[in-house]
Amino acid sequence: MEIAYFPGCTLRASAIGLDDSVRDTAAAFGFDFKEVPDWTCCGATFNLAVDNIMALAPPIRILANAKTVGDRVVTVCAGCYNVLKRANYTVRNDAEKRKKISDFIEMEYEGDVEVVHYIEFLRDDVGFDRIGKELKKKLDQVKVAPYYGCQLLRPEEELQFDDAEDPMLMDDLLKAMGCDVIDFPHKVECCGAFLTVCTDLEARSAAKDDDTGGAVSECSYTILDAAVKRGADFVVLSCPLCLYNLDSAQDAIEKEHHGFKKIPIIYFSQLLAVALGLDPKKYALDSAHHYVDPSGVVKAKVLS
Amino acid sequence: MKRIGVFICHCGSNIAGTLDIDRIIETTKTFPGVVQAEDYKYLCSDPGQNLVQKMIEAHKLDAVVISACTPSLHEPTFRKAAEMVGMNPYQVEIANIREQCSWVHDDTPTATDKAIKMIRSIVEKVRLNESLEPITAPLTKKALVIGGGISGIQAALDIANSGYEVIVVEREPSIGGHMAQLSETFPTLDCSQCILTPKMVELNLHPKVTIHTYSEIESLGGYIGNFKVGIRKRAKSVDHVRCTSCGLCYEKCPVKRPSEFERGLAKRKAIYVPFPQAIPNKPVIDRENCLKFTKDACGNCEKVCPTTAVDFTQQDEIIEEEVGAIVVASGYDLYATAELREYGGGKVPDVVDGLQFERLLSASGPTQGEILRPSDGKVAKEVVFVQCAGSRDTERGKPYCSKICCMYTAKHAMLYKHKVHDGQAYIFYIDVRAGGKGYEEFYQRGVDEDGTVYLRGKVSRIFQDGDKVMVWGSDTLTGKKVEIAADMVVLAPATVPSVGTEDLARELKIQVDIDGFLSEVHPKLRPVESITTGFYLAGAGQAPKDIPEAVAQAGGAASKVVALFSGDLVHRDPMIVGVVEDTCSGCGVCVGVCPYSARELDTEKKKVKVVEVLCEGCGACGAACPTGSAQQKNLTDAQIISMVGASLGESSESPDSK
Amino acid sequence: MCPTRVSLSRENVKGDFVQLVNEISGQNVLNCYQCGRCSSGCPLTFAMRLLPNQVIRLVQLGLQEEALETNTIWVCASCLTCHARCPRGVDLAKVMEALRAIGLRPGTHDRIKPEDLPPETLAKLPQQALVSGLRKFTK
Repeated sequence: MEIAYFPGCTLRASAIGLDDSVRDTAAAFGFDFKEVPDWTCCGATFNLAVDNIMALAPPIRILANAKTVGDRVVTVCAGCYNVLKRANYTVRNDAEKRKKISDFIEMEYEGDVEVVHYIEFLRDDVGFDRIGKELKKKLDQVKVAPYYGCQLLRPEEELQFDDAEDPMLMDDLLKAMGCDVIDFPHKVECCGAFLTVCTDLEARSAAKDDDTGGAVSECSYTILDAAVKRGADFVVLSCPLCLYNLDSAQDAIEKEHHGFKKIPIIYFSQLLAVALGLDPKKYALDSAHHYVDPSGVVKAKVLS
Repeated sequence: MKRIGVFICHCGSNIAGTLDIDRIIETTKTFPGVVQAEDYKYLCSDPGQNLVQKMIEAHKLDAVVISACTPSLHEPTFRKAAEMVGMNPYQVEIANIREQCSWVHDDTPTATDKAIKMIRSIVEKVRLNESLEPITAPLTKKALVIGGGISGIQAALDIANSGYEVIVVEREPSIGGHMAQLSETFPTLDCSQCILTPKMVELNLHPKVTIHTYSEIESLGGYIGNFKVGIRKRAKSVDHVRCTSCGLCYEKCPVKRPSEFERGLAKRKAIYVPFPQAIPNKPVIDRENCLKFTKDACGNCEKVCPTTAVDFTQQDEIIEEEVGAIVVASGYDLYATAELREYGGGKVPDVVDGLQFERLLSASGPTQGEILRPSDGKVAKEVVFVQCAGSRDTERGKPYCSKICCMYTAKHAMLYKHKVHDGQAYIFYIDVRAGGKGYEEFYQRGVDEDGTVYLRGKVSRIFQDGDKVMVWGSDTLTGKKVEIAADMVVLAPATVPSVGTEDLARELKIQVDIDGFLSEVHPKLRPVESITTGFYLAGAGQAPKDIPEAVAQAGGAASKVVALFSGDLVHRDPMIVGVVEDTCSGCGVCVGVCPYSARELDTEKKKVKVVEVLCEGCGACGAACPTGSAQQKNLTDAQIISMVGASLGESSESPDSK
Repeated sequence: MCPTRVSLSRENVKGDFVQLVNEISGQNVLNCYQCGRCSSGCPLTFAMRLLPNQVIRLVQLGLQEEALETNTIWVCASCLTCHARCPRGVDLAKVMEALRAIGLRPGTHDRIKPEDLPPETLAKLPQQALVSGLRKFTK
């Protein structure tokens, strides 16, 4: 059975390891992911100005296209998941906006496609039990900090991914994979998100005055320090923006906070691919795709 | 034709500010039968009532329409005024042009049109009103008090001391309620046990009082003055007559369960007395956890009991009692901390609730009054108190203010400091609400003398961080975000009606409000009476309240009961549903639908007859009757049809009934 | 920032500004009773000159200039932690977005320019970061 899959821009560019590991693990479980035809960027962030209807056009168009494949669409990027699901929620509950968007994109769409995160797919279609049975590598030496961030969880009413205060879905998946999952109270904290664009701004920019430059490294420090202190080998997540922030900030954090110990950040699906015995070299678990090279820990803890 | 007078109340500007009174008067005067129309600024006042009385006499009125506020407020006022000058009170009707018109509209011309139609429709009604006499019934001068907490105890004592018999029904194995769990009480810091236990003893020894603990209301029938109540006395598995309270049984019981009284901070046995000062001071067996009942094993208690009081074969017993009035003092519980997910969802061991902290403070509590944290028994040196945990939260908690938390938290911090001199108490608050005698002074004393640090900001998140409990809050007064690595956190969860209040209310057929608290007739003027007559309210089951207020309300409820018992008859509203014998076919449909067993089928005459004292006038029979023979007094089909006609603006054509 | 005296009157308290913010955000800022819980949980307060609840207060009082001047509205990362726990159901992220929109919509005050970003940064930033950054900081 064909299942619509929406990778999103980042996965076809900088987060290639996420995309490849999702497609390959899905295939390993016998599922045929078909890319949503004629897809575009979803908008990257859900527009919060309620009078801005145009921002709904790209995600709704993606969902309307997904409908040509099936009645649900799988995505894995937390940003895309958030935008698609919130846009879907909006048109489901606002007939006027639904009509305007349908008219504009010249496609009828009633909000009837289900947006499914790949972790939800693994739970509902594959089954965590089955995952546990098909593992080729033992992960019981791997101590992981599951990090959910914002986009998977909030707003809870619209996303319904998991308990937004104490989510356990990724924890449960990682436990099914045999990992040692730490109790990680910072799993719902924010990494600083798009403020990362301000990190390297030149002096002439207005944003320079806003103290936004160091925001991401400070946010990341709080999260990473908590993970390191609890003995984690990796922070595991599903969002390319979170990965970039938590990963790239570590040089600056090291300078700022004496004694900080670096920690590699990887996608849950990369870990899953390796655990299923797929070729680890295929999934960008290397220094070319990470600031903090995960390959050493992968080799020591996963492959040994 | 009936001579009808119409009176329009301005209600200050409540009515006159929106409605065109002059136009109402002018139009009303043209209605058929209306011989007089008057207006007055406050009709319910003494001169206002005098005006109505004078007009009744001067114009020889047969009926009166008062156009004012809701009849639930002043219908009795005006009926009584009319009665004083010889008019039958059931010839007085209210047109509610305040709540149903002036308060909810702002456009004067249309609102005035509506008010005129409303008055017209009530004029049509009153034209066909019969003069009625109240139905009288005998009165059982014995009261039932549901709940044996401080409110129930106080109400029961006040009624009993006035010379009437009282039955107290308490769900738990002991009377005493939550007050028995408290350490010391604000703002005087008297020991809760010291002021409560003498009252418990007094109640227990009172010759007019019968206490049923471990018991619940099974059924209820009847009406004010004549209730029949079924009480389920749950099997205690111990014969309390034989038991000498020696305590051997629970000493030898091998089962340990979290103690409800200690709120899980200590264990009790499967056969247990909830606390040393309990009344009755005799054990019950918790059958869900007793090995005899779960595995048919053990039986230690039975073996060691010197008086063979343990009785595993005991059954629940249902007893019937007749009472004339019922005081509902069903009490409160705390909102479950498991619901407060951002505060650890009840999973962080050193996050406790207010009642748990009372047990830690109590000299007879699980730590003998030492402030030891549950996780490792260490003395807590940094203690954070979090107010409004689930209160004032329209989104995930309760919208209302729980009222008692500001003061008990101030007390907690103060008592904590008295016990741990080198410790520090922090209180996160939104507003400190210290209205009450001596309350503000008490709160300030905590700040001035005991160094309690108040931080104005609601806590966002609490989580376990190593062996500390991390609290993320803010101090909005300085504009700083605050974090405190605490040894222990005390939440002040919202107070909610005690578990089972809604089921109890359904059984009693009394009303609860949107938050599940028991509803009073009028929030200001009749705060201790339930909407259903014969029921009186006391304590925190009606709204969050502290001990002084609960005791005062209990006294109020008791005085209402005593006032009722001072007469020999009860007077029932005659607005019952009768039977038109000419058309009644004797089908008996109405007998089946009547929830009050007020209708009976006379099989010989093939007609239904009504037991008038039982009828509550609910109208279920009226809706069910296929021949229109069940007609409500003063709300007959003919009246309703002409009222509808008037509301639609039809001119009156209905013939005069008299 | 020195505390200065602000002048309150019907013009600001009941003025168009509150209305405008409510319209763009779909919120009613008057629902906020200033408990400060948003600030207690906000992960970015260290970079803010005013706490989120203080910005809401400025809007409640109709103090447009002060509200738009603070860096808080640009530091907000729309993480929704505040909204998730607000006891009055105010979506602060939407209010912040509205305040940014009021500043940005004239089209003359873009906060960042792509050409300001060093080429190496542009090369390494995930596409998601760049697109959302530009959407949040420019018209």
